[in-house]
Amino acid sequence: MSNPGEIAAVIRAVLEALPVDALRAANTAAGESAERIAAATEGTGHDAPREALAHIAEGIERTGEALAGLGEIRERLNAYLAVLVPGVEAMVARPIAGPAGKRPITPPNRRHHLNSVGRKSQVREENTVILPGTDVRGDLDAIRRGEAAWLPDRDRCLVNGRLYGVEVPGTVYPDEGPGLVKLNRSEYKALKGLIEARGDMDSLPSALANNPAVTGADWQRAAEVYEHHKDYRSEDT
Amino acid sequence: MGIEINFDSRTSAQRVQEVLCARYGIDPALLYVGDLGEYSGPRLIAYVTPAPEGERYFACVLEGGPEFDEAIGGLTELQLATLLCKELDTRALIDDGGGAATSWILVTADGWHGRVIVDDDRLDDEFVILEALQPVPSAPEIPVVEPPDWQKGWYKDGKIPTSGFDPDDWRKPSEAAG
Amino acid sequence: MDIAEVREHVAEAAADLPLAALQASLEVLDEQRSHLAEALSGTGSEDAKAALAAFEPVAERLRRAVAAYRAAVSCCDDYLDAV
Repeated sequence: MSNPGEIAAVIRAVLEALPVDALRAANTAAGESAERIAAATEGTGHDAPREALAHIAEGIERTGEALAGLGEIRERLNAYLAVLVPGVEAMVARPIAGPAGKRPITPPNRRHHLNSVGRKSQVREENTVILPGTDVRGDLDAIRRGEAAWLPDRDRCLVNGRLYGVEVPGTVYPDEGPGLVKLNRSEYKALKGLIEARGDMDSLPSALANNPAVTGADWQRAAEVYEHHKDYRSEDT
Repeated sequence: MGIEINFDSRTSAQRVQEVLCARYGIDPALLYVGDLGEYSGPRLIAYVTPAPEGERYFACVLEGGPEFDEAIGGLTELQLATLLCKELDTRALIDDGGGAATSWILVTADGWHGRVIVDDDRLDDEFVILEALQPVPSAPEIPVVEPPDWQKGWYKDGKIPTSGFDPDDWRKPSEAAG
Repeated sequence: MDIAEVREHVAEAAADLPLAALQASLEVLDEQRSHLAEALSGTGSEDAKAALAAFEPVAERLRRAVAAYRAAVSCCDDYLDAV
């Protein structure tokens, strides 16, 4: 595979699939098991529970090391992803590069989250929608920890395969990457209409049905995105 | 691509329609003035929503679809906004094309345009200008702040919109030149 | 807590150790490493090579964690047999 776009797509998919959450959950579960065993066998005088607890402690420690290793993989892949984009130099080595090193950064406005898009959500020429399940909070934490790559030639932040920009007050906004969908003005309006009508094309708000700027292709694109909405039912649209 | 211009709420929606129909020979029946939710008739090419009673800021909105683009000869949003603001002695906000939702282009009655920052907390309800990214000649009372170092990242092509009196110096330069 | 309750607590806690989750993570890692190796073959990037090389130590840590939890389960079984 030599096409940088295809390689980047694979890297993004790999970043998304790395079992970071699973390992964190595993350590939480193991810790809880250890607490329960310790509480139940306290003062019994048997060696076996103590040995079991020592093994669990080792398991937790090894899993923690694996998590650190995943962090290294993530950093390397982000760095490579950054250089795949022409003219862009990754700066992962700097502790907190970009705006996050200069001012507190805050999460994207809720209008970007698919399940929070509402009738009044402001529409732009380009609107990036965050699909449910996308770990934007984790991305922000990574940016704050200095784990994101700052792309100086594009003035945007790259983390877990997702690009983010930063507004004047330090509000982060999503741009592109796994779990992010870009819609143009009329597609986003169509999406707002579908959400308001709970996916029922027959009960669209009349203002939107009459809107000369929204065409058939816009409804189609909006319907694809609406399939990820919490109110979507398969018989909709 | 479509046109969307948010005029100052004191702007007469009727006058916007009149100017557009007179200048571009558009059938007034296809350029509706009013609440689109109450419209029933032929497929429109554009509409103007008057600002609701008591609404301040920029709530008189012109929106057009692809046929409207054709009717106005492919003018950019900035070119059309500049022309209408001068003609109607008003001001308007248009999208600056970037990813930062708070950065908009203010077009003033003297034909000037430049970027302003609006209040993100109120953006889903109304446009409240907080500050400008360069002095606004006709509104020196708007506080001016330096754009952040990373403003280039707001724009897909990395080109920062210019400000000034010439609406042809920014966006779609090839079309503007033609 | 009587001995029956102790037995129940220990048995449940041992059953809740994340053996299956870690094994599933090992499989995910293996699968993703293969995808990545295929995509990066011939690219020559140091970051790409380093990322690929970092998969094996992670898998090794996970295998050790799995072994540790297996030993823990075995100790719990010994205890349950003894009481």
